[in-house]
Amino acid sequence: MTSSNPPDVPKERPVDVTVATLSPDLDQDPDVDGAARYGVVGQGVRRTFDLVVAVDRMDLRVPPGRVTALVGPNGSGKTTLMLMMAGLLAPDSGHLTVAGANPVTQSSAARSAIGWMPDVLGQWETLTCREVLTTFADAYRIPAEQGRARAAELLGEVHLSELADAPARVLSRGQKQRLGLARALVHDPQVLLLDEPASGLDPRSRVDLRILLRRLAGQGKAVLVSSHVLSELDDLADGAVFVSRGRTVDARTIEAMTRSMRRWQLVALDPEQLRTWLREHGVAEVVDPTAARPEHVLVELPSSQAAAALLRDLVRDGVPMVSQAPAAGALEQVYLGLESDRR
Amino acid sequence: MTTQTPVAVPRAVRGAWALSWQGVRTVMRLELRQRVRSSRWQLMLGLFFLTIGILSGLVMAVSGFDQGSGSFLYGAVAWLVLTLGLLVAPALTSTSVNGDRAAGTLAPLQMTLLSPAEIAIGKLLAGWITSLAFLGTAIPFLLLAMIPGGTGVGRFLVTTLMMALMLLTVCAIALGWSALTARSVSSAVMTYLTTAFLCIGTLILFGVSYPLVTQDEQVRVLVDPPLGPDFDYSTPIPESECMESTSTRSVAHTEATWWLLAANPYVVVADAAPGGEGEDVFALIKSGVRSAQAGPDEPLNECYASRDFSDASNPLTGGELEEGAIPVWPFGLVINLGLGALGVGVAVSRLSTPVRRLPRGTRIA
Repeated sequence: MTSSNPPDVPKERPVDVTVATLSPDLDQDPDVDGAARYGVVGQGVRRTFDLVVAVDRMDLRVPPGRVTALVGPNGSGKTTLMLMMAGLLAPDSGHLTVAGANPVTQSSAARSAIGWMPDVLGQWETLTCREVLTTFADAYRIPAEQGRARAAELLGEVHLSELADAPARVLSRGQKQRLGLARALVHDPQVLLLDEPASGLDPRSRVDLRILLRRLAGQGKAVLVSSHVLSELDDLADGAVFVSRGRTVDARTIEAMTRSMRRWQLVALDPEQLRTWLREHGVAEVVDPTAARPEHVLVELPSSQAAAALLRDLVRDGVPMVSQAPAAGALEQVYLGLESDRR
Repeated sequence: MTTQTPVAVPRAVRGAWALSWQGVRTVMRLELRQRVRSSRWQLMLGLFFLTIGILSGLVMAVSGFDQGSGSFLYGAVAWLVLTLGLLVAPALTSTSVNGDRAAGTLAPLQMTLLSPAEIAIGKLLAGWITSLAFLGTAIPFLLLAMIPGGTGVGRFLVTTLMMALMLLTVCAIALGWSALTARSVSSAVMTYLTTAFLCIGTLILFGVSYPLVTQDEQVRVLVDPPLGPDFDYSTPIPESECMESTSTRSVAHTEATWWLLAANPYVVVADAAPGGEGEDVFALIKSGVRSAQAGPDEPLNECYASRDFSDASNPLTGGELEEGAIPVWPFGLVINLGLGALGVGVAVSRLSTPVRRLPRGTRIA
């Protein structure tokens, strides 16, 4: 799997959140981003449990060389979708391709290409960290010598070398999480499915996780991360798939929203002077009772160019500006926007 | 980390029943490591040793420890070992699948290139090896019971081997139940019920079916010749040839139901073991089940008065094994191992991914 090189993918990271669109000009190349061959493609995936529809027509592309975020409220079907991508759960209908293999009919081919980290931590309490990794290397039929080397290397990678021979039960929650990540990487998978990988991690470990995932994406792996911590995904993800109530939310809407209207937070030494200036220039302040601080002024601006122009004018007219920044992460804004749409 | 160890993951297609020793060993080692390292395990083994020791000591105290009691002693100790083994074995395997599922450690294994069959059989072998460790702690007492005599080495070897196979069966049944039920408690209960059915339920079924196969029939009967009205009963009855006549008797056709007993683990162990005599409980079971298999004697011997009781070669009851009877234990072994295979089959199908229908109350990860 390591020898197969994914196609060239754009290396520059887009400024705004882009959403992996479902049909990138099907008449040209149906697999322009390589997702079908080296990543994950889902089309119309549906899964019900008894009478509950957990996943109802989800579409997504997880292209190689990029980190894709899977974002949605609790119970929106993220974990069920991940279980189907991992090949543990069969979809009722729809089509899934993981690294070019159908996880239902070509189970072993898909499994050898998938690194999966579940949201619920399972631990082999009495095994040492090293044994957990070598056991999984064995389970992936990796020769013992390679398996040992790989285990040592991964323990270093997730900063658990000092605890390599300690039983897993002494690990803290965050350390277990890191061991779980190392376990998912044992067989150098082409596709990584990580369900809430950052939960329980301290700030340092989160930074390490981000660096690691970005490097894996740089090696051409397809990485899908689900998380609730949206501010974190801003720095991590190249693209995002928003799901809600079992459905992929229309991609174009999100893109349009992200590009067109974004909320900015203005802080001035004298908030009243700022508000007066805004009123005089016809810029509407957004009144948000949930805003963090009343002295911070929120405005909605259509683009980064508009933000630059506004700041230039404010400074020119002598408003004592302290800062002007996006009020929240791009993902968070889109996410909250979707939430308000639902109400 | 600048360089990275290249890992070669084979991409060969592996189906649900793909089996390799490497895969089975991986699962087995994972299971055994966890068991051996828990302190509970050593405690259980110690308690098992003590229990067998105390009960064997009691048996020996009651029976004595000499040539005359040798057969009884061996049979009693072997019976104890099998009983305690059948009690312990379900506990060792009946949580192996649903316990892992609840702990979240099953799905990551299923995600690897291990096949469902490798996971199932690895877990089965780990459970069996653990059961054999318990059997092993009981062997000193079996050997001790052989000292007074009356028990051959062959009998010891065959009873031990058969007990080991019965434990394998129970472990496999436990594995099947643990894959089938969501909660560990349910699978433990179901395994104990299944074992109880094999050990006691078969006896009850045989007993209940007894009246059903019993009917009044015209059979040939050997009777004493009539002595005549003039016989002086104060004199000894003269020895004479028995007379054959036809008469109506209630006859139990156990040759139609003996296989119910064959499924009993005690019967399998007893019937397979060579030798054994007198009061050895397994020898008694063996002669009982063989005569059940043979069915009613024809002609029925009711020739009591004219028999010479001092002649040991002509006992009142059949006693000795029926000539030409086929061994019962192969049938029992096939039934038991078949049930075990069913357990493994159920486990493999329940471990196969992806899951299409999720049973109520179970979770994937």
